Amino acid sequence: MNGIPDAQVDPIVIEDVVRRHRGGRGIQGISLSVRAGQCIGILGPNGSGKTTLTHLVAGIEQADTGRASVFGQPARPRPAYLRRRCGVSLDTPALWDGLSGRQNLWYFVRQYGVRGSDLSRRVGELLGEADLAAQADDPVATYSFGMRRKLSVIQALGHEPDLLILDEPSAGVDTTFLDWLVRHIRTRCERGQATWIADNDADWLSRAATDAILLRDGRIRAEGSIAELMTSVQARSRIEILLEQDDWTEVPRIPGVTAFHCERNRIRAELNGGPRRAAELHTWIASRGGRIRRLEVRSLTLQDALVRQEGDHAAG
Amino acid sequence: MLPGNLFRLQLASAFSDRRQTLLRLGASILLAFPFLLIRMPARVQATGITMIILFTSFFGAAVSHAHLRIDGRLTRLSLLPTSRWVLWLDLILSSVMMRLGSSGIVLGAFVVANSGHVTAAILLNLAGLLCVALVLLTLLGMGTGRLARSNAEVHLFGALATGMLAMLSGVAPLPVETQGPGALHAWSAAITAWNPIAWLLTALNRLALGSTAIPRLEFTLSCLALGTVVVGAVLRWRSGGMQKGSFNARDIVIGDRAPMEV
Repeated sequence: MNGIPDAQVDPIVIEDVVRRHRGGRGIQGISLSVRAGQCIGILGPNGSGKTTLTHLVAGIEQADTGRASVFGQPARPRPAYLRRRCGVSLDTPALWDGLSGRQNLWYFVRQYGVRGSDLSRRVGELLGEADLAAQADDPVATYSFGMRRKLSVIQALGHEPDLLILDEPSAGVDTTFLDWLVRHIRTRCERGQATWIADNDADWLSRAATDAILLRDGRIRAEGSIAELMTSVQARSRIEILLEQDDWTEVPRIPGVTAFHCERNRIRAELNGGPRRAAELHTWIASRGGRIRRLEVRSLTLQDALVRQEGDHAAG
Repeated sequence: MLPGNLFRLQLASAFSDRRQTLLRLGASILLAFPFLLIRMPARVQATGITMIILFTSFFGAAVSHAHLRIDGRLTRLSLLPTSRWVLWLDLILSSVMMRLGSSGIVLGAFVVANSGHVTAAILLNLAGLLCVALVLLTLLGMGTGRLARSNAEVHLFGALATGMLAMLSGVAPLPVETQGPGALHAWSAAITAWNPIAWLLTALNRLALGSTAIPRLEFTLSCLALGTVVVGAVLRWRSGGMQKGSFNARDIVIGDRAPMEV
């Protein structure tokens, strides 16, 4: 036994892990595993335990009970050769403000053993992909929030890690970068590299991840592959209508309107069948004397699919 | 400069802002002015200079380490595959180098003001003692910065620790009640006897009084310390420079033996 993990071992295995913070928050009894080539997206409201779970996987925090392992080794303490296989970008960018973006990136990429011309090329490529090339030699102190976030994310990608851990990568960054990041993560999946993303943007996550879990109050409430989850809400949409009058009581009998809820002057409904159903509902409300002030239709998202699954589980 | 290790990164960061650098040097020089320009007893002059070195170095190390910890950079560093020992060595050495600039100017000005009896041995001894004192103050400052959860706490803990250090180094006089025979006096005397800040104070006192004698043990230890700090700093500086050749990090990870630390 030389301490080198088996290449066939799952990159992340979490078994019944509990980690409590002061004030009662944290995570309680979570079990999951991430295979090679998988990209798992962690969704959940603020305080649901996303960052705590990410810190456990990254080896920043230690579980109170249970087992968290990375490439078959305990997640913490993590030996240097295992840290080398991981790339981590935390929710708070840890940067040296007085130095330029290039200097910050250079230091981090070099620590993973990239040297010489490879290092120069890789740093240049990453700065270009993040659209930071023009500001690469400006002090980080002059960067906007989004630019700092992008720099933090590309720091984790510099050495093409076998396990990439990203906490809130979409916060404050532009869509061009997010599109590039989606393509990059897909390429990683094809290469058999694992990715862990904790984020609040379900739409973006549904494009980047292969699987998703919904955390709430420190527990996994729903989980599944993105394909399955998106199929469950495919061609479904949610409509929100604001009426001028606040005494609406009628419930429509229109095929395809699967849920209808009215509270004062606000109607919320779920439709099966796309924009045509929305038009039918609009016509029906108008025919009953309803005066519509605002109407908003949106497709159901990954977040909705997970919340629906959570509701189904709760209902037994 | 493209920093290849934490030692270079920290130094590059410390000297990247010209205003901050000038403020750091200017504050030490301004504080030292009264002790250099106003005529006063040699003991008071040496004590004042030692107190300035203690105060600026300790607080500098404590505040910068607290920032490093509070804004998450220390956590980020702990995730790197670099050896923890090397990271801490770089943090300590770079902090010592940063403080060496301001402390060195103050000490140099004191030497110039008392240059009547200066010899090469005295200069070597003072430089060595300054290095040892700065390493100690850096370690204590970093410890304080680690305990503190906010900038306000750093200053509170720092003020308490500086006062205690000043007393244990003979910079500030101990209360009269503790100066007679007794456990507290014996305890503080033992600490003072092996305290590099107290050695520095004594060496400055000797210089101000015109004595050229240096205890052999003190001279040996200070030369050793000076050599160690200089060699360590040069090696770490060179190690963080541009290196030719390249290899892919992943190639050395997935192998049949544990890879080398970089």
